[in-house]
Amino acid sequence: MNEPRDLVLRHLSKCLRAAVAGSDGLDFDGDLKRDYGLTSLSLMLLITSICDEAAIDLSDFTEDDIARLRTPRDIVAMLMSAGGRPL
Amino acid sequence: MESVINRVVSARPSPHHSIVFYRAGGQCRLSLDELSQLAWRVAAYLRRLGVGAGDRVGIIAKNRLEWVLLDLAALRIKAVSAGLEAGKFAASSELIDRFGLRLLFTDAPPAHGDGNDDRIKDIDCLLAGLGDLPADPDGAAVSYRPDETTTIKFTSGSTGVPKALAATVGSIDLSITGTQALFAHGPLDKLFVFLPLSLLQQRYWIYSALAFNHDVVVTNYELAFWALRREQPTVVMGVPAFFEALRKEIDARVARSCGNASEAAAVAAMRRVAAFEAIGNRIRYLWTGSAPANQDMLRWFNDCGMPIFEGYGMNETCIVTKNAPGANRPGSVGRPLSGRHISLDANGIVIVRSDYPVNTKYLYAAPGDSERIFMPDGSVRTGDLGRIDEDGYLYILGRADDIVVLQNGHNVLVRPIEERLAACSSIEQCLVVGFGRPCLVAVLCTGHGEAAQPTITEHIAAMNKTAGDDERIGGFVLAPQPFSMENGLLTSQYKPRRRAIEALYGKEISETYEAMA
Repeated sequence: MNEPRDLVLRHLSKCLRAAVAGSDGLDFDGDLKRDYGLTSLSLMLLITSICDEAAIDLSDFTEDDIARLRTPRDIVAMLMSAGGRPL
Repeated sequence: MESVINRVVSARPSPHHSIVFYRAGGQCRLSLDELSQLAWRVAAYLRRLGVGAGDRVGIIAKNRLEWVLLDLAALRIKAVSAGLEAGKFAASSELIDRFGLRLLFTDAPPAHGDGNDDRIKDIDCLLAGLGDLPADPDGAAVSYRPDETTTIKFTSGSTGVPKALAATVGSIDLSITGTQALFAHGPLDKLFVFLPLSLLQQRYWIYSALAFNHDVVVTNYELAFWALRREQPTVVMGVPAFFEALRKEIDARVARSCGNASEAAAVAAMRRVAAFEAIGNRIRYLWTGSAPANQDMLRWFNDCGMPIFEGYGMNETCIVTKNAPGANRPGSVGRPLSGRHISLDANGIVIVRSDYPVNTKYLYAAPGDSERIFMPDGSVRTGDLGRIDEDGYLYILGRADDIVVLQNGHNVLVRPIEERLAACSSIEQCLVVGFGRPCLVAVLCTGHGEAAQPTITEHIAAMNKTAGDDERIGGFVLAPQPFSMENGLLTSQYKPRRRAIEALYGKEISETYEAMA
């Protein structure tokens, strides 16, 4: 389970600005919008990058799947549900 | 002027060009000819359901194939499509009655208690409902006059209460042909659309594909970045917030890869590579409008080798002006399209006259609303403050609503101040307020919480040093969550809702002023 967690936090760290030093300092249960300031569009940029690297088809997820994303943990859960495909 | 709409409803489009839909749950691709044939079957289906000329067909759904089919089918039988923004309207009997809809197709469950209303149709069942119906045979006979209306659009409205506006065929034709004269979309083009199809302008590019034979990609904002990388469009129809999000993400990645010591040329090269990876390497140009664009953002994309052209228009006018290749003046929103005419009134407010106006009044609005916007001669009083240079380029200085009247009676145009604030790396979104107050205060969204405070304080201090007396920021409020459509603080075109934000943070704003007293 560490691998998807690292993947998500690494991408989140990359898309944040200088105030966050690295993925170590990120809260796995932090609110993506409230705590990390992601807008709806920047959240989708993050998800797109993660899915690209993980070779998961983003369009396989439903609108509800995407609407439920609040924290990095939620993203990992969504990725893990992706048709049983390994990350 | 040959009518694009008449061509769309009667001519057979290219079998060699395609339309592709990306949406959560899957994607589909079909040729324009297949799209057209399918739409004419939907037209036959609507007729079978009793829909005739002049009847209104409502659509509340996210962007998808069925949305486009219903819109084209309505055109074919001279019904009137009414696109209502998904998430903002619930499918209900009350809505059907309020807007005089014959049928309402939706991708969401009907409102509680309205499940038995057979006027509400599940859009998921549309294609299955066609059965073996043949294409509607009457297309060749369909022809529109410029003054006929074919669709109803709903303005988002700064208060969040929409007004309805029926759009004439002439106004749609004028916008598409005017754009075509500037950009010559053709067989090698693939236009990318991700904003809601309930915004009429987004459907122009589908009509354009059918009339001028080019590819088109339709998706939602959730899949926009995903689809961009896979479809390699030549044109992206966007808004400033979309391009800003891309720029910020790419800049953050490049900064992390390069570190602080890298040479400017190396950073620029990496940015360019990252931009092409994100958007594709076939970009001919990027389109932005609907909200003011930050000039730094426009320069950034131009420097990456992706020309970006800002334009201007509103629901009541369609597209009015547009920068374009060979007629691009940075800082301006371009010159008027053929058939549109601009002037300024005594207060500097932009007035738009059109050879074929969108309409001359709203359909559903409070008394006086139409008269405030539509002038007796059919011109539109936009409410935007402008300047027109000697070559006819229009510069938007801000909304008349963007003027904050301070306690001392001085008018301050806050948009340029908001643009300077947004240049701070720790500020994601901002709004400046101060009506009736001694000075301005900013409401700021930051991705770094309290940790961003020193950077923001420093940025504002630097701004204040060069600002005029009334333009200084006296304090700021850190908003705990970004402005978004979900929380009602952004319009569907990503513009901040000024009154809603002021209302939501009223207490914090007042406390900031009290702390300064």
